Amino acid sequence: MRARGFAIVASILACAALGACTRAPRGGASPLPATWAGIVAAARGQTVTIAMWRGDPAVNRYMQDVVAPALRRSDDIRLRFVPAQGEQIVSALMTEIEAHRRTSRYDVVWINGETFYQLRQIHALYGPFTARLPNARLIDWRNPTIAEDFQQPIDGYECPWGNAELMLITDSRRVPHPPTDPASLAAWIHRHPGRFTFDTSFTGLSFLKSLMYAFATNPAQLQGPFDEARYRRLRDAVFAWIRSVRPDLWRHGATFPQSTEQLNQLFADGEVDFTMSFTDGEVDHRIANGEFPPTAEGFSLRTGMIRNSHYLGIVARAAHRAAAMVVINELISPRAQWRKLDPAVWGDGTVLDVRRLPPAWQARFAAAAHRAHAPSRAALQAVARPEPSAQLMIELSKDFRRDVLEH
Amino acid sequence: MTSSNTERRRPACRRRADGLGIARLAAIWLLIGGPLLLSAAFMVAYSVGLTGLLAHGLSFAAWAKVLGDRVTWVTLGFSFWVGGASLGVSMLGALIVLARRPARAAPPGRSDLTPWFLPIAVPPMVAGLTAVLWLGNAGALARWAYALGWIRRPADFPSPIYSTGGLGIIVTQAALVLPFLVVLFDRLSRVHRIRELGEAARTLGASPLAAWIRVGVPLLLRAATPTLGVYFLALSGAFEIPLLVGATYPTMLSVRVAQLFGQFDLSTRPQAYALALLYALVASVCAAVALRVRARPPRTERV
Repeated sequence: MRARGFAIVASILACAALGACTRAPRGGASPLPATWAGIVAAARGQTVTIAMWRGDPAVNRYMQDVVAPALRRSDDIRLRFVPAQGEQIVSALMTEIEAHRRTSRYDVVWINGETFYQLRQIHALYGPFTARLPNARLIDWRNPTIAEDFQQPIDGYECPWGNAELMLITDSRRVPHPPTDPASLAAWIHRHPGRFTFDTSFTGLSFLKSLMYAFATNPAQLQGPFDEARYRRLRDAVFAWIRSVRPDLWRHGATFPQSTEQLNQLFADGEVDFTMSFTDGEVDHRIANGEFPPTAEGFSLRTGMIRNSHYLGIVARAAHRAAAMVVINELISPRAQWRKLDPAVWGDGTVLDVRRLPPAWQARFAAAAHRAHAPSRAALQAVARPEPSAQLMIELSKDFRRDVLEH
Repeated sequence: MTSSNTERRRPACRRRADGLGIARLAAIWLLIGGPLLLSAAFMVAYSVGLTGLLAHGLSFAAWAKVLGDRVTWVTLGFSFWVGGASLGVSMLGALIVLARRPARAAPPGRSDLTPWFLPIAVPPMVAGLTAVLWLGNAGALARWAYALGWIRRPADFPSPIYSTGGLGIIVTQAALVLPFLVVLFDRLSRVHRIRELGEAARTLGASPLAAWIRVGVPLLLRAATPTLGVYFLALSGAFEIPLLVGATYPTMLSVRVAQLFGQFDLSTRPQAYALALLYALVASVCAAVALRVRARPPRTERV
């Protein structure tokens, strides 16, 4: 009897293992037409599902009120937005591949470096496709923060959509002279116990990477392929900095906010004096919405802040590949990029090389409104540092959890 | 129909009934046990590298990592501490509520416990957010304390939210479970006629408190053991409330599994499955022990 039971369990185990055996990802849609006109014709009447971070009302409004109506009018394409980001997208697509789903629930995914790295690892992205987009010739491909994503060539598997730089935010009434380097920040934290913290998600890790640049003797130390020895040296310097300020962090550094949204809430409630953002226009939006005080101001550490681009990818098993390409082409059009640049709309940096645009568009971009509560784009550019390799992000995330959070 | 015919048919009926019973049992196993067994088998296969996109063949590395990681045992211990404390606090609360309840019964067709039914419908996520809004450093209570001049800054308010000891989780979970236990204990006390037994004890000279503690409570707890055991496991494996009001570390087990499942490093996925299986194993052992304890007759009956 016992032997029979064992045999049953063993066969179930074998069935599960065999049934779940992984096959190479297959495309879920028919081949694309050879010409752009054919792609546009095939895209008509389709609904494209976009997996994107839905945490910023300004971004949501831009997509729903600006992009979606334009696409419906011009190409008869409808957009459906699904809230998902980073690891959620990776997890969902990985599960779909493991479950051998023929078509994905997503068509387009809004991603950046570390997600791109992971999705490429599991062959979840369709490509190369950017060369087929008519508007891709307007992109500033010579800019390394656009053409490379976390030090990886994008190889046509994702299309640049916008770029942004990490920014610290404070209330100028509470902190009239914000610290501008790690040493002065540490001194400020010691003088104001419990008033500073950072989150443990992507933005918080980007803050730690910015500190790595501050401790590097040369920014080039964090560029190029992952270098274990260099990484360890800089990681140790950053962790030593955290340990030195930890007793004076929010809640004595025993716990950290798990997301930027939580950190923003702490800032808005007056529990801490700083928050962070990867959206240049965020301070202006949140002031306009009444979430942040009118005296909130964005600022940078003069030792460097991480600047990166965000991208749009097409899922390998997307059911509406042609329509996905039309959508992405529209999102990198001068019209859509110009509207996105407006701080009242989103305030996101353009990925276009403005010099390649017709003179009328050049004039419009030159006259674009500026953010009132963040440094100018030129000032941000002066301290911009490119993203280190995706491997560094993965190692830093793991080590931060092990050596700081769980220590 | 003669009696001999009936005698001949009876075994056939019984056989048919037996057949139906087995079929029913098989159907139940197929519907409930089958998917569970298949899921467990998939998790085992994933955790030992037999399946998964990044699997490289049979390997026990994920298990070795999970079992050798101090954080696993801290997480497991923390989960059971929070589960046990939440259940303990809510049990205590429910017993106090029932002990202080007036002796008269509610009018027929109406229950004086109706208000206790309402909080049972509150989803854990809503409970978690409500806890943050009330008990957080910038929550309603902290604002009142500030208005009354008791605190000068948000950090002065002794908030249980995000506490590393899990106080916020315990308070929120206990508040969520308390109404259910009040209703459960009330129903059990009616079924087991505990009030009448208490009255009998009082007529023999016991004080109301002694009658409740020495007669009512042991009978109630014994009758409720299976439900309490299930609740203990559910509270130990809770997700939403620990995620919303818990500290970054230590975390509850389900949060830890989600962390391993969603890390930037995809190679930690098998560890997530291994940890989930480990919890399932420990929970099964706990459930088996609880059932065995329940099956044993009480000491008085054994004498």
